Amino acid sequence: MERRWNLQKIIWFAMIILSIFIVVFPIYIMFKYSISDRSSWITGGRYPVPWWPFKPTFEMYKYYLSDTRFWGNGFLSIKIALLTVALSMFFGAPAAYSLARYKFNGKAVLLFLILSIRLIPDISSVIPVATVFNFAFLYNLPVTLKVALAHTLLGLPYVIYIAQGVFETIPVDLEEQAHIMGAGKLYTFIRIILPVALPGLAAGAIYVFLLSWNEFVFSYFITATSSVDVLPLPVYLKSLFGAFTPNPVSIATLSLLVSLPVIVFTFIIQKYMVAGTTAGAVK
Amino acid sequence: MAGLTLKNIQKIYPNGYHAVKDLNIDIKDGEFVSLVGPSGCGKTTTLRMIAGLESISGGELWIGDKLANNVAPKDRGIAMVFQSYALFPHMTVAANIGFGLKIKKVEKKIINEKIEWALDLLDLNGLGDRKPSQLSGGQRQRVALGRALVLDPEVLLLDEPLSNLDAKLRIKMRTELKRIHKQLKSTIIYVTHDQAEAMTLSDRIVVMKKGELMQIGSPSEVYNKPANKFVAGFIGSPPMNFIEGELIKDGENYIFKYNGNVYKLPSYLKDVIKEKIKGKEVVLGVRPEDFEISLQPIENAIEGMSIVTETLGSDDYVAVEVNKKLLSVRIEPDSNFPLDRKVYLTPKEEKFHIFNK
Amino acid sequence: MNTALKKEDKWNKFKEGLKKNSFLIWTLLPGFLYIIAFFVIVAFFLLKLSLTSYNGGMTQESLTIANYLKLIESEEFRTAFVRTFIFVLITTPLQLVTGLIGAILINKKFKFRGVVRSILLLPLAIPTIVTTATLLLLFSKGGHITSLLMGEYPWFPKITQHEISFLNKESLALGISILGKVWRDTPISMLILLAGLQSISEEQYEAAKTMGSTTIQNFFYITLPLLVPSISSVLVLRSIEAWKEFIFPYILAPSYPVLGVLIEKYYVQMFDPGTASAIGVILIIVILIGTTVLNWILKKMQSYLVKI
Repeated sequence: MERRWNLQKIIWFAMIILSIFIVVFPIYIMFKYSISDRSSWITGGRYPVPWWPFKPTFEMYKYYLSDTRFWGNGFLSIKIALLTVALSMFFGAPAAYSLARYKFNGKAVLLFLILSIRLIPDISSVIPVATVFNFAFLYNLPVTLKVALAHTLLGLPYVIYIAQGVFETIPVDLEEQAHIMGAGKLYTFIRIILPVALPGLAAGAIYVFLLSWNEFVFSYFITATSSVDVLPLPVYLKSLFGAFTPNPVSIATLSLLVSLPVIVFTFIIQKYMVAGTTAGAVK
Repeated sequence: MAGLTLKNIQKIYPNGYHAVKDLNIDIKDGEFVSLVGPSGCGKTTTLRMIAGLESISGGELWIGDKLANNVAPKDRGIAMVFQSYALFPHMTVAANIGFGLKIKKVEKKIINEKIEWALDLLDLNGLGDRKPSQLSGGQRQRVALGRALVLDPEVLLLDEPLSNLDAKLRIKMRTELKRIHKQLKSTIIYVTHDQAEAMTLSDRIVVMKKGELMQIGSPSEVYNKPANKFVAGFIGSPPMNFIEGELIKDGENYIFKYNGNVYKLPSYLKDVIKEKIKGKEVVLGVRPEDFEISLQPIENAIEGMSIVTETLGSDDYVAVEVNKKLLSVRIEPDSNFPLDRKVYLTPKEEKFHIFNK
Repeated sequence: MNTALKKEDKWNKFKEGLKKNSFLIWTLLPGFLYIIAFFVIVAFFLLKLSLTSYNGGMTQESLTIANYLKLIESEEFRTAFVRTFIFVLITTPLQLVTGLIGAILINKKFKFRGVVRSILLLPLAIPTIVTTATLLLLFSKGGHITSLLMGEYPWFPKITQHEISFLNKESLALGISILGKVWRDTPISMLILLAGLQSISEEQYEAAKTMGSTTIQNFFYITLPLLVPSISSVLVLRSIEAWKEFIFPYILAPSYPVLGVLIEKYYVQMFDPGTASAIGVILIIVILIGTTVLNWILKKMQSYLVKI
């Protein structure tokens, strides 16, 4: 690498700094608000909101972390996300395996079907989905299951894409070897393929977990149409906006608490995030 | 252990590609047979048909005295070692070796004994608890072999098992394989593209090209009496020299005419010609070590120019330009052979091959 | 007798096929039944609801296209449609540009490349609702941006006398939604374009360099043409997402609804699932048409580019 600083390099460096700033600035603002004391956000118009709080405080974090409602909502979000992961893995992983391994008539149709889920706007499909869940015999299903079933639909295309990629990297030799030695297809899938695919599948699972954790539209409509007190975190956060006097510290703190697990996981599975977000776009 | 018979075996893929054409091979119990040929010759397809990984499009496959065409792989009494070894990465060496026995629901005690036996046989003692990723290439290869051997297969199938090893290790494993074969007396079918490997290991060699059988025979048969030009060129290193030309009858004997030059063929060839050769266009073949080379003019010799010399350590070769093509001729090592000189080549007695063009 | 035999034969063949492919069927069936059930539910209920008229809580039994007729005449719907179209027209190319800049910046090899890439991916990780919250805080009355523009911070020039209320002016509110959408989704286009960039080997640039091509010429003659497939997929995927957009305008510009927000308004606030579904159906059709047209244009442009 050259160590010379020419104009081109200076521009490049400045742009990098600028993009990092654009990305980090809103997150910083959130953090700043979350540790603000009262005088740092209620200014009465006499002075502008400071860029760093006068007296930083973690009061709001303490409040939320000891609030049973927050934990209740948090656990609901976790339960929904875990159930979503379980369901989408159960439905998606075996299908992905067959899509990766076998050539059969109509495979292209199936792949198109998966892709076309993303063509339908959430806001359009949520109406029939919510309607169906309001039918008498489905109305009493637990909210966790209803939301998870909806989220599974969103997660399924990603699970299938990611898992298909993972299975394709496993040499067919392994299966043939097991086959010659007398193992059946199911046995081979469970005892040979799944254990080998586990790390990649785990990343897919985390991706779907985050998808469910972040999802708003389906969570909002389904919880809104079934009378419940406990809300998934994004919906809970949204309910704070509508309060009589929205408290920015409260919003900011809850926002960061919701984002934190996502940020941590994203760094861990960055490689697979790339696979998930570009699924179907580059081949 | 059992023998194996392939009767008119065919492989035609759904897209119409004819991968194996009418293959007939008879393999005796305890024999070490190699399938060789360039890539795409159908040798691996044949092996996979024997294993049951590929369906047989036509013909009969007999393993022992059982028709095996539609028998599931696990019931054929075969075991296979893949080129990639196909070790299960999440299992220990011992678990890999014991996998097949576990599936066959063999008693745990016997499985453990078998594993110990294999580890001992293959010089893997103490490595039973390792994962494949912690082994060297040669060790992985031996684990794959052990995994196949513990099953006491009737027939052991090896698909280029040594090709992923470096040259030194490959030669060592070759000897090792030979020792194991001698000790266990198993029937082994061995696929390789490396003719030297096939020559050193096998009792018999099956040479294939584009799905067709070219020749079956012992290493010395395929080397000394190649059935056609392809086998002659494929077996042996450096390869046999070929000179194209035409045959002219001269009384009882024949004259070989190439590029305006003529060479009187020795009389022992006339029977071969009567038997094998059709038409006038032929190819003469002589191995590099079967030429006598002389700087003095000799009557009835092939004339050429010496161009360069090369050494392979034990042997030296000189490239001789004949008919705008280079022929390779073995010479005495360190002989300081003069270059850019006219030389005269005469094939040694009985070392002459003649093929249809 | 003969036909019965034949039937049985066919049935047996079918059963045999099932048995032979049972693994394939059992692995694929659950997942795809799930997906197909979803499509059936969406298609059936969305259409049925959109053809049902809700009048003051009373539903009519017979199917009617009254909802569609009402929408076509409604000023609100037409405005929302235009808004949505403008939203698509701005966000799609904007995300291409921001994504391309990000991808080019990251495509260089440098010391902290992995870390920088992770940081630039952050917007994707943060829940959308949190992003909207941040924008609300920044642009609300007495927030940082208004104070900044009014010159209340000594280091920034005074740009306006009066406080701008961002969220109560149509162009500004939609502008902020666009800003949020672009901020959040740029990493996706960046990753797609980065994959495209990385498939261009360094040697191609070096070969061009030896022929005297400058960096800028390299970009226009090598990078862009080879990037056309990635650019196309960014445009198509991003435009679909832009048509579908709901959350940003819903939170940041509720008074100036785009189609998605209008659906929510009819469904939740006005208890009119009929009209809401009709808009939903129209939105799906618009997306299908929009995507097809865009694909067609891109193909035309590609063949034009190749000719040059």
